[in-house]
Formats: sequence, C-alpha cells, structure tokens
Amino acid sequence: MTFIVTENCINCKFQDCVAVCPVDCFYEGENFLVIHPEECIDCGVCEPECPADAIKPDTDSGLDEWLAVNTKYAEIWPNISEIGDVLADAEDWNGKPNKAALLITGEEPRAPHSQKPVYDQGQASSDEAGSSYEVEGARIKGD
Amino acid sequence: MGFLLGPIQRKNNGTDDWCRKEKKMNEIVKEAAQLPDRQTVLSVKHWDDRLFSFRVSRPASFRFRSGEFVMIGLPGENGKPLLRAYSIASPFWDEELEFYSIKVPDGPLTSKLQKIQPGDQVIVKTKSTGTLVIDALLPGQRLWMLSTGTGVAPFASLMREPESYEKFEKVILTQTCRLNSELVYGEDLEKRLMEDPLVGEDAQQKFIRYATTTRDTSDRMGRITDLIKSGKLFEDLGLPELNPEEDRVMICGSMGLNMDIKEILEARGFSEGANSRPGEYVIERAFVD
Repeated sequence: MTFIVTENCINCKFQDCVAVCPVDCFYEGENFLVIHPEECIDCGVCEPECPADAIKPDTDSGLDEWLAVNTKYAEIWPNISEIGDVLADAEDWNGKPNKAALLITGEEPRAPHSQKPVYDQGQASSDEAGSSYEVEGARIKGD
Repeated sequence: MGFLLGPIQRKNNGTDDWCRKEKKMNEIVKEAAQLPDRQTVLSVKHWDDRLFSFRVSRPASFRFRSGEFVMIGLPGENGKPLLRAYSIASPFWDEELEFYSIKVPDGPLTSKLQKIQPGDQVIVKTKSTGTLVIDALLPGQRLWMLSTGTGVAPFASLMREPESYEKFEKVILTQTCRLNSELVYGEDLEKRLMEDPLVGEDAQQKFIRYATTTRDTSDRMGRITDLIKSGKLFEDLGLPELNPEEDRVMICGSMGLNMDIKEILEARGFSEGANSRPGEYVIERAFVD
C-alpha cells in the first residue's frame, strides 16, 4: 500500500503534506505534487494535513489512474522536502471539478509563450542541513 | 596563447535530464547528511522476549513535540540505511531519546536492532512528525490516550509533557495487550511518572492508567473497544461517557483498533484533527517492522 496524491491537488498544491512527511517522499510538478509509492512508509500523517483532501490510500477504489501518475512523475520531478510558495489562487481551485486535464506534467509540447517550470534549486539542495528546523518552521507557518 | 582557461562552465543543455540531475544531486546531499544522524546507545532494557526499550544520545539541535515520531535504524548491508518509524517515548525536555520496540525474529530491522548494546551507534533522522500532538487537538477537559502493544510509546512522551497537565483536568492512558508481561513497560512508565521532578505532582492528581489484557488473566480484561461500548471503562474510572464537548482522544494501536475506535468516535460526533486543523481526536498507527 501507499498513499497517493489525487486530482484535487491540481492548481492547489498547498504543500502542507511536504512539511510533515518523515521520509521526504514528495516530488513537485508545476501545479501538482506526487508521492513516490516505493518511498512512502504508509504512516498516514500527510492525509489529514491536506487542505484539499487530495491524499488517499491507494486501496481506495477507482484510483489506479492516479497511482500511475504518482508512480511515473515521482521518478521524473524533483524532490520537495520543505514548503515553498503557495500558488496565489490555490484556494480558488480547491474543490473545482474536472481538473485532471489541467495537470502540467512538463512533457507537454511547448507553446510559444510557455516557460519551463522554475524550481528553486537552492532550497531543494539545502533542505537536509536545515532539516531539524523543518517541523518547527512548518508550525509557525501553519499557525 | 600561454594561458589555459579555468574549467569551462558546462552549459545547461536544457533537456529533460535537468530534473533527473537535480534529483541525483539531492540524493548525494542526503547521503552526506546521514553521517551526523548517528547517535550513541546509552542503555537497553529487555522487558520480555518480544519487547525492549533503549535510550540514545540526543542530537544537539534536535527539537520535537512530545508525541511525534522519527525514522531510526541501522546501516543496511547494501550501504543503504534500514529505517523505520518509531515514536519517541521520552518527552521533549529529556536530554536523551527513548524508544520502545517489538522484536520480530525475521524483521529486517528489529532482528538486528534488538542486539544493540550501550556504546553502539544507531541512525536517528531528525525530521520529527506526527499527529499525536496536543496542537492537533482542540481544548477540552479530559485527554484520553488509547493504545495497544507498543502503541503506548508516543504516550510515554505525552504523559511526561507538562502541557498535558496544563491543558487537561484528567489524563487517562489505556493500554491493552495480550499478555501481562507486555504491560510491564507501561507499569514502569507510571512509576517513573509519579516520581518525575517536573510533572510528578500534577500526574499524581490527574493521571490515570488503565491496563487490560485479552489473553492472560489479569485484574482487568477485555478489548478497549468492548469496554467503551459497554460503558465499563467509564464505570470503573467514575468518568462520564466519551463526548465531543469534553473529551479529546488520541489513538495509537493496530490498524484494526484504530478503525474500530474511529468508528465509535465518529458515531458520537467526534471529528478527526490534524496539525493544520485541530479536532476532537487524532490517530496514528503503531508501527511494526
């Protein structure tokens, strides 16, 4: 079993899950997060933390498609272990139906105006050194 | 042309490899960071042939909230650390970290971990987390900590947490095990709690331990779910039935126990809490190897 991120994360990407994950098994796309099924230890801590209620155990029915998405992009997208900026309109997208088509995988043919997603490399690579402060930091942000 | 230029900076080739490369870099950084995660075993106590507890040194900058868990383990044979989630069984103010573990004969980690001796090194990762924290509960009158087996570990931390006694009028720990010998650690915790210089006095007024067995004969027998449903638990303690207005509940046990209690509580109008959204009860599974 593993937990997986499902449709309602799209365009919300609140990242509360990232702050509490004990094994840093989240990977970040432009408008979505995924869980690496082989790294997840099924502790379940992230599930109730998600404001969009997007994290589910893969034992729930009808989630095969999302399990496949998590499995695939966890191998491609960069790891995320600390909360970064939350999308400005995240709250507006919470609960909107039919978001699946809006998932940005990074594999789309590039439209002339589109930009490659920008990930903050400094943050990603400095996470381990500051790991003892992560939970404390998340608490302050969560207050 | 007598000069050689320094290393030529590699241009970002802009291909899809970019993400993979960064991931690889993260893994390298992770591996390097694992070295400071080694802690020294200070003492080990075997409670019976299935259970043991041990104390290790605490990383200097490590902070956590009472009730949280961390990943701990040993170096694996392939060089990759073998880690499992363990609740910290000591409070946030303790200078050492305590863990309580089952011994699984064929368990990849516990078959080796049970052999540790004082002076040995174990890996303790310092990203602590968990839902069994006072922050995830709304204010209330009574704090119920319901556990089976090694699920008592996070409560070993919370029962020595001063905030438990500042925020609640009663702190009740229940532990259900099959055998009497499996309750001895909890008994010892209670003894240590009453003598605790920081919270002992509060605990003498407010703390109640309620232990039951399901197989061995003992003073109190039965599953905690049955004792809640029948009302016997409340009769025995002289306390009102669980209600969402006054009671806050933390659950740490087997998957079966967790689901059964969740059902009982939701039927009584309790809602599940989280760090970001406190509620009337919280759940964590007791981790096994």
